Amino acid sequence: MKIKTVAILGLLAVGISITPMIVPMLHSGTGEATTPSATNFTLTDLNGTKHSLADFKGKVIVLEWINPGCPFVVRQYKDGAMQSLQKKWTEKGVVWLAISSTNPDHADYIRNEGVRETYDSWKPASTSFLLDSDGTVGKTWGAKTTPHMFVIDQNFNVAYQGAIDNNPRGSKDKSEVVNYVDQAVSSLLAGKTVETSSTQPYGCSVKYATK
Amino acid sequence: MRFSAVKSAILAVCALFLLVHDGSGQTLNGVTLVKASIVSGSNDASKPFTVGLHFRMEKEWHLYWKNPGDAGLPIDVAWSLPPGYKALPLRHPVPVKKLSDDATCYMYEHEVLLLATIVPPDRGKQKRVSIGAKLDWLACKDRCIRGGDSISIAIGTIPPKSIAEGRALIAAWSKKLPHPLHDAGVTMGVPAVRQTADSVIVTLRFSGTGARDITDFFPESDESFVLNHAAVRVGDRAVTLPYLKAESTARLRGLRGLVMKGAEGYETALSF
Repeated sequence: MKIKTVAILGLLAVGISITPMIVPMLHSGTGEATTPSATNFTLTDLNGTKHSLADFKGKVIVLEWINPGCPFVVRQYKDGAMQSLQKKWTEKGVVWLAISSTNPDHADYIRNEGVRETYDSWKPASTSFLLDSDGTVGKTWGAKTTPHMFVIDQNFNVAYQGAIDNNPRGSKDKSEVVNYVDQAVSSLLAGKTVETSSTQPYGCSVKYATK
Repeated sequence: MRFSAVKSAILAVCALFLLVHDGSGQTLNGVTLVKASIVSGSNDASKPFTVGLHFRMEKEWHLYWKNPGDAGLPIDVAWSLPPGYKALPLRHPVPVKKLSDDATCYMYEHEVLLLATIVPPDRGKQKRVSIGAKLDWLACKDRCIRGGDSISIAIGTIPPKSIAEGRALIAAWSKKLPHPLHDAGVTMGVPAVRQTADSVIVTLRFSGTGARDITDFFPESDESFVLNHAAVRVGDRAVTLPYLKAESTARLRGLRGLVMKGAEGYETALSF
């Protein structure tokens, strides 16, 4: 199956007049299910450097919505699972962008040096940690939870969106855990079809600015 | 004689402690966010009986329904029962639906009682048994914190006053359970199901005197499909549910959820 997750979400939105936030991710509003192009954005990292998604066109890109104050995110990092996955794939040329859409007025928001300290203490292997404090990018992409994962293929199309794995409670034996991002990236790098293109993300809601 | 009296006193205190073991609750900065306890309306473990798992939440904090929606986590219950006893599926009161941080969620605020019928074995029934539950939950306000507890109750040794209180609580919360669909004064027609390689759109159509009063639909979750909760549409005696397939081979075989008329929920279970 060629992956069309976000496009179809958007097309369904068009079809029955739902929230327009996903619509910018579509190629068109024709009602046909078309492979979606990833919506570009430009965000600043913790060092003040700007990064545009389009700069990484041609590579497999992982977007990870993150909130270091969310217990689901903390578990992934305390277990070392997220860092291991980041390391595994960034070493093979995959771009991994962690994005925080937590608004500065929220209790979970950690200011500049604090977030760097917390994030660095986890020894991440992501490409960059990007700040989306006004939530524009998160809402455009339809990020609902932390973590909420997106995988973009080499043609700049969204190949997967949803949960990091099938283990919301963290109670499964390692042998039972299916990491959907790992599966998707592995398939893309092998030139194969991503079988599981969409799952229900789990975690904390993204702490968007209310205004 | 003296030793015997002391021993009896110690045993009495132990027995009292074992009657009902409420958990210590989930606390944050000295404030109890969630306190869980277990109640029963019966002291006879030789016949099927109902227990209630009672969760009381601090103001503004909430727990989640069996389908949390776009974010959150349902309450998980792992029973600890005597050999041969079994717990029937949990019965969940109707939740409230709230939009928070761009996420549509189904939740319980203030308090909730989850109900379960405990069925004894055909043989070897006991009058006195201990029913335990290991609980796991996510409590959220503006932020979320994982919580859990282990609670138990000794059926057969519960004081009459506690039985009466348990019975009253179970009766009160039983009224908040979903009703059968026919109580809504509606009849459901054959649902329209449009399946493509990637998506499924289900339209439920209703007739009857109550059909125009349908205000919402609370779907149960299906791990093979992703529902855009914000996109559920209700109107003109119809409910439209847009799903994405996890995999192209997935086929929607059925649908469960609550047809809502205001705060009242009516159970719907469909097979396609």
